[in-house]
Amino acid sequence: MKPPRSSSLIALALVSALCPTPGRGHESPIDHVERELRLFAEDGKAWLVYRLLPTERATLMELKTMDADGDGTISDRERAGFFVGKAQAIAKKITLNIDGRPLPLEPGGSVRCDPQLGQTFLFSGPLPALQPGRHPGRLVDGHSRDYPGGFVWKDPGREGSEAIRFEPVTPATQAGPHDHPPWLELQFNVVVR
Amino acid sequence: MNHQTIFILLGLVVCGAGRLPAAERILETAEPIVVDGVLDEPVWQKAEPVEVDYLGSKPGQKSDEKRMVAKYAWDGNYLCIGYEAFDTNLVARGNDRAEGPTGNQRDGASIFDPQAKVDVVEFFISFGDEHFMWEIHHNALNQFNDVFCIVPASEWPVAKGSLAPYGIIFNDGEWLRDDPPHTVAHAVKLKPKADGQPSTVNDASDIDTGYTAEIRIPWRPLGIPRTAETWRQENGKRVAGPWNLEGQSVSLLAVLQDGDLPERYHHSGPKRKPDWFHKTQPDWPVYECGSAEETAAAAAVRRLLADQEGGGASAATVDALRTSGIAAALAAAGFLDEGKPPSQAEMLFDVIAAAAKCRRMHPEILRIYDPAAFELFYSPTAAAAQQPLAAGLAWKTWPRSLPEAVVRGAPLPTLDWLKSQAAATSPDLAKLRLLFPAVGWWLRAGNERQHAEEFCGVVAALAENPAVAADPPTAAALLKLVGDARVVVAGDWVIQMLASPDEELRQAAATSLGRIAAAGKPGSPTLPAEERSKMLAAWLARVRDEQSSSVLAKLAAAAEAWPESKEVSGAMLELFRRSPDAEVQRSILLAVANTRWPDRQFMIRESLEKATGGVLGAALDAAAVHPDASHLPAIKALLAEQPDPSPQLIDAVGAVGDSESLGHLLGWLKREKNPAVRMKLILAINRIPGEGSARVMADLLASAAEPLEADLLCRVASQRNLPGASRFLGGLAEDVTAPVAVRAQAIWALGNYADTESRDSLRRLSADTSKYFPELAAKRLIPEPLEQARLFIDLARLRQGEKAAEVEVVRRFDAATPATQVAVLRSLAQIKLDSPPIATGLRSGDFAVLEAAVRAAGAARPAKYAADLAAIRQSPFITILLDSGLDIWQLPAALDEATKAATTPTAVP
Repeated sequence: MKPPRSSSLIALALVSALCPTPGRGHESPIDHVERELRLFAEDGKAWLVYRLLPTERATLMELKTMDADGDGTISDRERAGFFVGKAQAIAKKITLNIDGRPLPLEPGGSVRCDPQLGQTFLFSGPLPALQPGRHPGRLVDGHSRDYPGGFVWKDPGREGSEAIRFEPVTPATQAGPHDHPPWLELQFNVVVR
Repeated sequence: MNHQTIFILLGLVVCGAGRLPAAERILETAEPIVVDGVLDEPVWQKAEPVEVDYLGSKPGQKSDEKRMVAKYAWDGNYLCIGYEAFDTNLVARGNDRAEGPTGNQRDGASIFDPQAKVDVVEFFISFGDEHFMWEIHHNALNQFNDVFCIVPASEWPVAKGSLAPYGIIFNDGEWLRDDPPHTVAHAVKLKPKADGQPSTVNDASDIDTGYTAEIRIPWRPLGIPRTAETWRQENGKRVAGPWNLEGQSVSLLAVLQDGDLPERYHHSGPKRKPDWFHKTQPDWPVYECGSAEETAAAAAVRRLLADQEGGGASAATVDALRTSGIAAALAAAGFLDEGKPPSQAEMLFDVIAAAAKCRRMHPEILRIYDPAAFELFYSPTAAAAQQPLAAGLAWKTWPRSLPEAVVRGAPLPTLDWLKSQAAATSPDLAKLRLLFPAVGWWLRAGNERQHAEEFCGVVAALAENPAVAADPPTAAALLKLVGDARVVVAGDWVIQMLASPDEELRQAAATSLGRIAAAGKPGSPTLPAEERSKMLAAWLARVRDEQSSSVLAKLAAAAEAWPESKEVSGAMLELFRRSPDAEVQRSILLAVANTRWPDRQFMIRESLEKATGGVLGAALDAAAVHPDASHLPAIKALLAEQPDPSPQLIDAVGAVGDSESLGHLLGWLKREKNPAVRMKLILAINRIPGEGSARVMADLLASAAEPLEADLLCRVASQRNLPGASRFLGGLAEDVTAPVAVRAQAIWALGNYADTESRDSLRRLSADTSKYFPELAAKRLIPEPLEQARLFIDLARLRQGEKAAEVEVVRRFDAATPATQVAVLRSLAQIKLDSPPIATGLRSGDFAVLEAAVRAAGAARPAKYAADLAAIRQSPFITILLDSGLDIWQLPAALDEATKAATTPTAVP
């Protein structure tokens, strides 16, 4: 994980500049979003299971967006439409590279909501033909740039096909509301046996 | 829901818990296992994985790499074991023996061979007996041993005999019988290598991955307790089986021997100490046979109870409970048993309370994210569904954690219980005192979405119960609840208690009265005018007659409920003069700070002149809120007296804005080293109007060396014209060695100056931004940081009046992150400039962006955005959000302000 902290300070500094308190406030006025990721290879594809944990306030704001007819309730259609759009938007913001070559991700399946206000998205993309050995890879999450927060890479290097493993190079966890990078960037090796 | 709550809660409760028989659950398989070594039966997908990673030589310590995972399942005929071994060099040897019944003989496995470094998997099985057990061996060649082992107690003579050379009798002539038609079976499936070919056994030239295996053993030869035996009739004959395994426990330790590893033994017993595996049976994991239908939440609760013995819940268990939502509460309720040790009930109610906290959330959130919770709280059968969670209400002794659990998770049974107590001649006062704080906290926090009125009604009914009112501790607890919940209908009782002979009750009544009366303040729930007058009259009478300083202090604090009242102001002034008690004086001054009483200045002035200690501190706080020239002599006297500034005095000096104090503050600033106090002093100087302080601020800006101070001074320069500031701001903005955050402040401040120097500086920055921000330019993976810098340079140019810069501002705003958008909108609000980003922001799905856009709209051109502002106010989910107490930015105030500005006659449409 690269810590490119200073690059985002320019906006944050101006936000705090206009706050009424003299000291430096929280680094961002935007609700933080915690993340959990699973990244693995299976059936010739790279899979990204991407779980977002928004705050209750952010969840209510999403319901406002979902509520297209403004009637105060969310129909199945409104919900499905919202999450399809959100999955596509996130897919566009995530870039996955292996050996320097981009691997476009597509959303798949329906988004699963859970009681922790979690939203789990599934993305996948076809893996290129890889020779046995180690192949450097990188995942940059542009969505986390908009909505920063801590993250956990769950079971790194332990999931999916045993013949192809995504093994982390950078730490697989960065948690804590004030101790996360401005965006999520994972470096890993694709180990082909 | 605060997601950390349950984690912390569980962490606390499990550490302090008592000891219980621990048992994890193994699942029943609905379909027979096909013993082929492939773990593809549905039960293996559901079965809890058992990590066989604990180092043989180091108790409780696991290997860094995964060694083996075991899974267990059962049916009425068999114990089934599935496992997966991870091994890059599989080695297995036979022992040249075959054992077993005719037709089901097994080739034996070598378990130790120093030449071959064999690998073998072992399972130790006992039904709670530390002296008698089975030891099973299995390897990658599917070779299998079964040894019946006896571990004699040391006092048994046989323990010292030749049969037990290590204190263990290895009866390897014994073997597991079949129980026709049920037979022992075992199989292995080698896992594929990287080339897709199966792993090889006894071939060191390649890299293996391991194997999976299945073992099936009939219950009877294992020695299952006969209480589990059942009989049935079949073709007129009495036939045994299937065994009744539900609730049956079995001790089971899995062991992996990997001959290639320096740490040869790994096992599944986190509590096991280094010794022969046979001799540590009490520390083996224990498993209870459960039905196939058990939910993940129930399994997690069962594990939690099992973990209790180990001293703490595992991360996996806590995670499973957290992700289960209300299902965790329902599962925990299933384990409630008054006959079990109290520590178990404490833990279960903690789980219920943590999970059921979700009831504070809006039903639409629950419907989408936790439908079971929606069903529990909002379905027509909610009362019945909540009963299991409230089972403890009928218990003789309540666990500590019960009140929170029932208020959150079982409101309807809880209301029924409270109603029954309100109607009882001898209510259970001790239990009421336990429940009141939980109800009060829940209502005060605004969490009660469904039954607030019913709760208030039953609280009022309890106040009318003579037995409750006559018991001082219960009455005091109820008074607190009445205040917390603002139970207006209990107002008469509170007034009555104000005259109680018990001093503590009068204190509690005074606090409660203040809270109820505050309900009538703007922005608070409505209080009928008649009730309000009645309370005011009671308060005035009590203040007049009360002698106790403690009660008077509470009455003074309660006076904040009438922030504009002349009568209250007069009464406070009278009390201020009458009572020399420091607690009362301080309480009055703290209230003064939050009110606009006509007599406030007299009280502040008097205190500034005469008071000391905490009373003086409260007076200074009040003076900072209500600055007045009449405070000056006293403040100057304090300035002269105090060698070092107190933060409260600095604030008071700044608030009064006395130019004569400038030198004093500056002198302090020169001496002061503490960064926080220095910031306060700078702000105090800045509050003093006039050229003198502006010059001082400009000098400070020119000499600022500390980033935090430079940052603050840039902000000042951005909001106030400081003479000659543009030169320093330009230098700072272009200084590539300065912190980016400070430079950002300088750029924005430059926009406040329209002279040539500042224009030239912004032009240079705009023309070659990447040169001035090389650090940002280098971050190419996400290009936005540099765009951000350009955006704020353009914004500063726009502030200078360069209309052409707006096109760039708009373009970059649309692509910016929400945090950047907030910054831009707040900037527009500050300079009251209408620009397209405001309309974009008013449509945002981010609360902070929306709030900033509302403020910008209100500041820049409110009439133009009147329809948008009205739509936001009427949006159902904005209303819900505001009602949920989740607004930290005070959106309603921003909307009110903007709407008011839109309707002023001078508003530009």
